[in-house]
Amino acid sequence: MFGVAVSAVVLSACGSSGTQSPESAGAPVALPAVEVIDVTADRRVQLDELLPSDRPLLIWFWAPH
Amino acid sequence: MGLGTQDDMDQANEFVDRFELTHTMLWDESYESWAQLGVALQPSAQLFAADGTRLGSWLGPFDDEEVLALVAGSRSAATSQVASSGQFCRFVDRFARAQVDAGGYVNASSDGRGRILDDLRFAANASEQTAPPDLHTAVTDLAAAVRAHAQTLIDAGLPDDPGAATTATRPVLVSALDSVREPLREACGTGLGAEATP
Repeated sequence: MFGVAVSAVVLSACGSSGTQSPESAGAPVALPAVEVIDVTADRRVQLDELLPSDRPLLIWFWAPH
Repeated sequence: MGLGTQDDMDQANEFVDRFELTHTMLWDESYESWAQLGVALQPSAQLFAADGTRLGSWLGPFDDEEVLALVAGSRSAATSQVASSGQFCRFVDRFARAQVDAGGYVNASSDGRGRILDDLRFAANASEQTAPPDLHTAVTDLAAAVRAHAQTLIDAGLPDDPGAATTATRPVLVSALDSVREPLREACGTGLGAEATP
């Protein structure tokens, strides 16, 4: 299931800020009901329990390589 | 908060240690979170309001001041991307190939069906993340339809006869494909299939 992600094009974090275009805000989004590992706290977390919350959430998508 | 996937847990730990990261860093061994959130390429980011409303998305770098302005409500939701039209068209081509491969869904093993859906979601999400502004809305609608359709099949246990499970999501997907087919042919010269089978 995960092999396709490995071939993802990795874009540099450096460079221009790129183009801006409007995006409709839309309805609230439910985060996926997936159990993930909190690497920094060494525990498992249910992703969909993180929103709604009492504060905004910025998710940065990363990969070890 | 970081949400990572790919590679393995040891490499995830090594990454966090190497860069001395102290904020929450999640890692998803399944890739499912990225697929459902429309993420195929990294680094990228998405900003959500406290109620879950998506305020912005970025491919490549994001600007701290812009994030704070979005949270404060002093500017409207935005997308930012650094991809070229060549990258976008490569992913559109990949989506077209994934459609062809999806023709083998019925005769594939359960794992094979999962890979077919992953390929479709990956190509649709990557196309969305790299779409030029004039095509962004249509490609976003297509990617959302692909994700919803794939999720229906996954929730149904990847049935070998997908017809009964997809009565709600298939028409939406076909409609999204109809809307985007000609613009993508003009932009990339790629012809998408009439239906993203299964």
